[in-house]
Amino acid sequence: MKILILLKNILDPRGMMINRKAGKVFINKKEWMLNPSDARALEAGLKIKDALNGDAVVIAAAVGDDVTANLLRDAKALGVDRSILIKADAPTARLYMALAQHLGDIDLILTGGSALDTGENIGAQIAEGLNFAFIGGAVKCAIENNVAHVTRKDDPAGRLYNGYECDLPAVVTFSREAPSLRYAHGGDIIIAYRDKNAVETISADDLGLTDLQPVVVERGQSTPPEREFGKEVSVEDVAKIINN
Amino acid sequence: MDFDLSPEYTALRKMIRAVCEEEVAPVAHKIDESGIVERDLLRRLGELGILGVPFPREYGGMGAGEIGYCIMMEEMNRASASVATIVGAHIGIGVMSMYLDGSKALKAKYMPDLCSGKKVCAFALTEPNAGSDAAGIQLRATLEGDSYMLDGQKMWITNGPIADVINVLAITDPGLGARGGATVFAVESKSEGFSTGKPERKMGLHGSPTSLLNFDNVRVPKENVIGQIGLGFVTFMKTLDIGRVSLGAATLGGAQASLDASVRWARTRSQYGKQIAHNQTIQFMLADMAAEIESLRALVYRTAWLVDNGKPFIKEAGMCKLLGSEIASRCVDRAVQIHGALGLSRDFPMERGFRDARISEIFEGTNEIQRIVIASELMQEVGVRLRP
Ligand SMILES: Cc1cc2nc3c(=O)[nH]c(=O)nc-3n(C[C@H](O)[C@H](O)[C@H](O)COP(=O)(O)OP(=O)(O)OC[C@H]3O[C@@H](n4cnc5c(N)ncnc54)[C@H](O)[C@@H]3O)c2cc1C
Repeated sequence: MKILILLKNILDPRGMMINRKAGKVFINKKEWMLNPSDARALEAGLKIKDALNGDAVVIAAAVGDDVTANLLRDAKALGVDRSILIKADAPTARLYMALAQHLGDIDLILTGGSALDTGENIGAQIAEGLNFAFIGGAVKCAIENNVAHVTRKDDPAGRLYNGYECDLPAVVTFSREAPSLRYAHGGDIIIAYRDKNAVETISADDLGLTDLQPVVVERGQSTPPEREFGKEVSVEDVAKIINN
Repeated sequence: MDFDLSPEYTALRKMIRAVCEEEVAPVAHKIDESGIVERDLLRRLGELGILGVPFPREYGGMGAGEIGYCIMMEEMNRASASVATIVGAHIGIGVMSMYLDGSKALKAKYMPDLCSGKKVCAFALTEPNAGSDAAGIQLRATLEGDSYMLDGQKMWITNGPIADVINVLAITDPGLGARGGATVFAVESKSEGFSTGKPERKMGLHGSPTSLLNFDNVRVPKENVIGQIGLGFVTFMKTLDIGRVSLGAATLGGAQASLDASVRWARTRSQYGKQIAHNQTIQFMLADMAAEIESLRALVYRTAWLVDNGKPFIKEAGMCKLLGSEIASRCVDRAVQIHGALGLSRDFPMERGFRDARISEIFEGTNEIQRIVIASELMQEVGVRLRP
């Protein structure tokens, strides 16, 4: 059983303020955090390994720079077997597909349902690209005889949980309502951070990707136009509209 | 020169802060009201290594040194002073005295359970007639076959009612007195003849039980002697020297909590049509708090660095405890002022913080004693030995 978990480092929104009038985003405190739904995916991966009594290789991967490497060290402290940092500027889905092929024999790819900062959802793209099965919005995932059993909360307001199954290999993405990430033992954090080899680094070249173009070109900031105030109406007005 | 915490400590602080904010702070009020810290909470902290931060992994510790330990105490005291005091007495003086001078066998026997939270530790020095003048202790240990019999009383012992292992300083040679004739013993609370008094009714730290300990001919096997016979006083004083650094770190957390709450309140509360933060009087209180806290932070972490790097630290440790406790008391006093009537409300954390802060000027050596320690270190540097 080989599980690949995809993680994203995002700026903690609690340190940011958006001023619409000035059309600016102010960063009061620049602190990084693991994308919340990715944290759920990581927890799910660790749970699967626990359920298999450790008989699984869990690999955490992220695209980014040395700041992102710390996120992968945290994952190492939590118990993943390998942490891989991809240093390349290209569409993340494409990099992760290449990584999965590079690693080979991946049974399961887990990641968050969407990124809190950009809203992107790479899970489905990767499943499509690799021709894996795909289930999104999971709150729980268990593996039995090469089948993924996924629980989803399909009714946001109520208590309706549905079960889904798919054959492996598969991509499963997690909702923020899935169980939250455990804490690492402090001693494991110290070891993961002091170990120079805790995080492996891979470049686009290593992945056999050559013709890459930068994905994002920064052209400045702008905020959507101010929304106009609505009109206050009385019950009588509403009644009139309905009657007409 | 580098004043940044290295990445492993930043990551450790993140984990500990999350645990404190999510699992300790929400029950801090209840702990203060009920006077009880659930054993499950301590076990939970133990699982994450938090009850063995400074000790090596081979004994079940976290292996994060004094710096890591100070980070933990700062964060814990920000969340709950009662829990921080239990944890601080357990690690900083309790297990520490065993770790510093205990035999390998003794450490292997007790430390893994202590570091994982299965067992709680206490440090017993003070007696009814020996407070600041710790050398005045009378609790007697007499050799009988291959065991010592302990007879006497200890007082004001943090964790006394909940401890499983208590490190006790007892007189083994009355002729020599405490200096040269006292020895440390690791006593199991299940031993026959051992009993504890009722938890003391204190002004603050309601969740941290402190009590009298009775030793009525308690048999302690020879193997449970910590360090050398007759040199127990040195072990205990060494322990207290280190303990002052982390106590300083705890006061830092308390002071920081006061400042954080004050900043929040200053922008929440409006009077005369503006946030109270727009008054210079409030700003000055906030600025004074921030300046004192920052200086304390620099002192605490530099001293922790001295400890971890094997450099002399006794003078600085005394300063951590002295300055820290006074700064924390001043900060919480200003925080109460900024909160107005709510500062006095039992439903707001400032009132609890005010009661909890005061003790730090007294225990682990009163602030007068800290001044004596600092002065005698100062004078020693110019070749003068002060006598207490
Ligand atoms: C909540 C709490 C928890 C505690 N936990 C522990 C514990 O876990 N283990 C333990 O062993 N003890 C513990 N203690 C005891 C604590 O360490 C003592 O209370 C402290 O050392 C002071 O002793 P004392 O209370 O007898 O005061 P005293 O020594 O009687 O002092 C009274 C006053 O005289 C001053 N004074 C005394 N001698 C001098 C001097 N030479 N020069 C100038 N001023 C002087 C003191 O500073 C103080 O202001 C705890 C106490 C409390 C309140």
